[in-house]
Amino acid sequence: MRTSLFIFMLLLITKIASSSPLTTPRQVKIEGTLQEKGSRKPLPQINIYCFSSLQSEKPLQVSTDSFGKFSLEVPEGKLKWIISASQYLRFEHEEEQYAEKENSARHFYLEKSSYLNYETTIYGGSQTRDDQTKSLKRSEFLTVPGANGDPVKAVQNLPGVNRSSSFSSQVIIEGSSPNDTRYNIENQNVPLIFHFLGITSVVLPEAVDHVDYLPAGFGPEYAQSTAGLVNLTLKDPETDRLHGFAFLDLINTGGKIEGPINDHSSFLVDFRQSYIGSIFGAVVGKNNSNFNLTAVPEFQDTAIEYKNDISKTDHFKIIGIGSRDQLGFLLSKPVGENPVLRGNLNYQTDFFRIIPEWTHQFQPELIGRCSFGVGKDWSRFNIGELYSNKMNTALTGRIEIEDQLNPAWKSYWGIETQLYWYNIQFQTSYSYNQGGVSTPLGTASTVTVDNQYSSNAMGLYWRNVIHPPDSPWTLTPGFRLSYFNLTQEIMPEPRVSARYEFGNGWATRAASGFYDQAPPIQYLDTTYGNPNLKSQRGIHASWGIEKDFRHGSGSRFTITQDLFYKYIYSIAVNSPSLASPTQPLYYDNSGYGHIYGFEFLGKYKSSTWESWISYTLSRSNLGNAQIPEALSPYDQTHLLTAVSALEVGRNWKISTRMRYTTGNPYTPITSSILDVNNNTYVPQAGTLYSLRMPAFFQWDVRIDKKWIYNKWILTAYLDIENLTNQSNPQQMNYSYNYQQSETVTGLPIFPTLGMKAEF
Amino acid sequence: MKIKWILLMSLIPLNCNTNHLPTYTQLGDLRILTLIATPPEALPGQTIALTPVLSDLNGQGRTLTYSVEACMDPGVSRGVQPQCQNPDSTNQLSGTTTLPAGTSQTYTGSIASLSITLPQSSIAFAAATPAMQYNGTNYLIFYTLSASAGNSSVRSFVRVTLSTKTPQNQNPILTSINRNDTPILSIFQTPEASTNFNITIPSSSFETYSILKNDGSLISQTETLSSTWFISDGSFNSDLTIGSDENSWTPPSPKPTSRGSVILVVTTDSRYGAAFQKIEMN
Repeated sequence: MRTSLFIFMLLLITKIASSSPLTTPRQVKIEGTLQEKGSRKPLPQINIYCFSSLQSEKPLQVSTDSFGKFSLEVPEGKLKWIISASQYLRFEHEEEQYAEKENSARHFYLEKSSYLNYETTIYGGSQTRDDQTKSLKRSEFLTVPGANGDPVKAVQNLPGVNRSSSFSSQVIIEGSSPNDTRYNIENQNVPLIFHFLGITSVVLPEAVDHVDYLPAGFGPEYAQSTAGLVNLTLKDPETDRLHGFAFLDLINTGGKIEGPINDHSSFLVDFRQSYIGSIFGAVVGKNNSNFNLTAVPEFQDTAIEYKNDISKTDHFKIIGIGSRDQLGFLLSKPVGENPVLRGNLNYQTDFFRIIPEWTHQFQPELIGRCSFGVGKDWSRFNIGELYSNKMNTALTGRIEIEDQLNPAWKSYWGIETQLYWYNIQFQTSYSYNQGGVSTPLGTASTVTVDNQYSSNAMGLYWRNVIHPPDSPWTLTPGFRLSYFNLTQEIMPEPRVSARYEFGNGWATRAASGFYDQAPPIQYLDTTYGNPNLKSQRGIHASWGIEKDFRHGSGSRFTITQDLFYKYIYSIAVNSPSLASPTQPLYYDNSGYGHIYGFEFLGKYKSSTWESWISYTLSRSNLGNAQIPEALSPYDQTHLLTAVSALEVGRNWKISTRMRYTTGNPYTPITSSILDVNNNTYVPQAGTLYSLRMPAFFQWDVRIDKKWIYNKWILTAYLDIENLTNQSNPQQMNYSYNYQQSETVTGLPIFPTLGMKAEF
Repeated sequence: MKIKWILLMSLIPLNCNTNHLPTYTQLGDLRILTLIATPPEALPGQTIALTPVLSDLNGQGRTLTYSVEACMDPGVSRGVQPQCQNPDSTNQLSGTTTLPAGTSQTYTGSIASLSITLPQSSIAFAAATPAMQYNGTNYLIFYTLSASAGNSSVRSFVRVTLSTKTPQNQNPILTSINRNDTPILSIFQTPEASTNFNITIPSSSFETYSILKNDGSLISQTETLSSTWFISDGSFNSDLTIGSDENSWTPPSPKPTSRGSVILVVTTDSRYGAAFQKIEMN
């Protein structure tokens, strides 16, 4: 009986115990990762909360590690996960998990509140080595309206960058000739930065980390330019996982893939192919009595990058860049006032560069960098019997030591060299141009050249950044010694800049220096040029004030204002004179110019709205021995650009750009005379650059929409250039005898619809 | 690079704009089509004939005033403006010429020739090297034409080569303009459908000549003849043909009723030699 009672009590206790709510539940260990939705970027140091149905009052909490991983023991049963992080949408997820149930790793994805943010705008000064440098990051130029996502076109929104013709593939800096702008990729000189007609730059924008724009007063690291330069820097390949994207729009398609190879090396490959030729042929070439397309206009480019972080002190990367443009026509009728321009027209440019770069940290304060650009450029052009074939082999290099001598003084010593071996063949007319009015090609003497040249432009530079701790002053004195072998010139070029921080967001800065630029190589030809030409030289001065209203206040404004002055001299220009009774001079160094102006940039930025206005007031004059100083063809008195972007939620963004510029000056043609031997009329110029083209106005709009999936992102965009279909005259087109003329207008309304998928 | 850019920019109008400007070969208002120097190459001091070829389609026959002046080439091919700072006094000519309306009411063709005396070698070869004397220096003859009303004036110039070379260049011979390979000998009915035209040039017109290089060696070359097709109505497939290449003509629609149509072909030999032929349609 007592035994039975004991067993009964035991069973009762057991029953009670098993049904009691106070019984400790079984624990389940859950492991997982937290990543950003779409990009799969690991999110470190984020708190994750887990509410259990058995512990509803106090949630369990865990933080992700530096790889976004987490591990948490939770009671089995119903679970509710909540993650709330700054700049991300709140994440909630409910599930049931029991000890017996399969327990796979959790992968949580946090969606950013916006994927369309301007992450940064123009940065300079403290972020760049050169206080004069203005840069745009990828996140900005990809979405700025009117630029079609292109970095160099986006730069054209900045103050001081003149509006180029709609069809130009060059960049005009502060009223200088576009031929005075130098183009670099990874600090190595390249022959062009845009594909033909300025459609897009030669590197896929998504492979570019940032674009630098260096106007008047740039530092001693660079030469061979009296205007400024544009430098594209490629992004480092991603190292966390494989990334890729593909895009498709109305004119081209392409893609990029990048990722780690092992724990210390990574790669990036991109490629782009246009099919603008097919569209061009269908729209313009079809049933066109003036010409037949013989080679479809198209362009391709590619970039390949390999990066190896060999050790903590050694980093190596090698970049390959390639670009091709080609087009062809069969012209059945002569072009405008130049009857010589007829027949087959072919145009092709190719170039490639292989750019290895090695960085070694000798000591914590001593860093060495060494990079080279090895490659070839081909440029082939012919129309009828006229042709120009140019092939260059390029070896450019830069070796630099960066030494933090003491807390206040950092020095950069470097050597830069540009070796070129040219093979130039051309049969073309020596077209004399004065004031933008050229001798017709038929009247000009035909020049046939088949020559080889080798040139060496090199320079030693020394740059110092002196900034005592707590001092408002930053001084950057520098010096460059440039040498060009074909003109046998050694050019000492001091360059200096200074910055003073007044505090409260106010700062002033100034820069000045001497600059050089070799004459075009064919101008130095002994037979059809002037071998005694010298380099073009320039003196720059700039002074500016900037105010960051964000310092110590709730305002979101920043403004910068600059004054600049450039004196360019010894410019190689056409000359009708004779070097001897039997030898034309062809060119002399009598050209000079004065360019000055005022630049303003004002920015406003909030979390969903960003606007900036850039304005340039400038004057650009040129003269030479044949003509008195007059307006330059690149003078644009007023240059106003307003850009605004607004996020409207749900990853929609609308942005707009408005541009107004004064029309470029041009020279009227007052009369003409028939050259019967060449079936062409020779124009007689009126007062040089005494007329202007009508002012230019363009309004561009861009709409971006992103759809975010856990492991990939789909983007659609509509970029409409010239929304109002404004007829913007670009240049004059004359009848055969110059008695009638009409303006050539720029692009009409030009919508581009595109899709991009990235993972 | 600069030249290429100029050339490319010249093509832009084809791409984005419809060109409404008159073309070089379309006849209409008073204009000079060519000046034929006979011979086109001569010794210094020689006398040559200058034959203007012009068109005054809308003139309906009228009196024109001409003037002539000449000088050594100041360097037009290297950019000097084509004008005489010190004209040769022996060749300063002026006068009037009256154009008949013509049977097709489309006066287009040559007018009376003028005699031009070329400068002596002391002027023609001043500072010229032996190679330049052999290859030739240029003498420019400027011809200006004004309508009697005095408002419209057209100017032109032609080069005459002064050289010691033998044989010297002769003008090419343009035997005939052919319609579907048959020579056209008289005014004919305007075709209503596209028609192929070409020209007949005797083989002797394709002259072989030599160029003296500065090192004293000679290089031999053969002339290439090209022809420009001026037209009053309709359009040609090509404005310029090489040799005897065919050129397809599309008739105007509708064809003009108040006058006939004219086609005038000027053939040049690239050494300043020229010849012309014309045909008329009604």
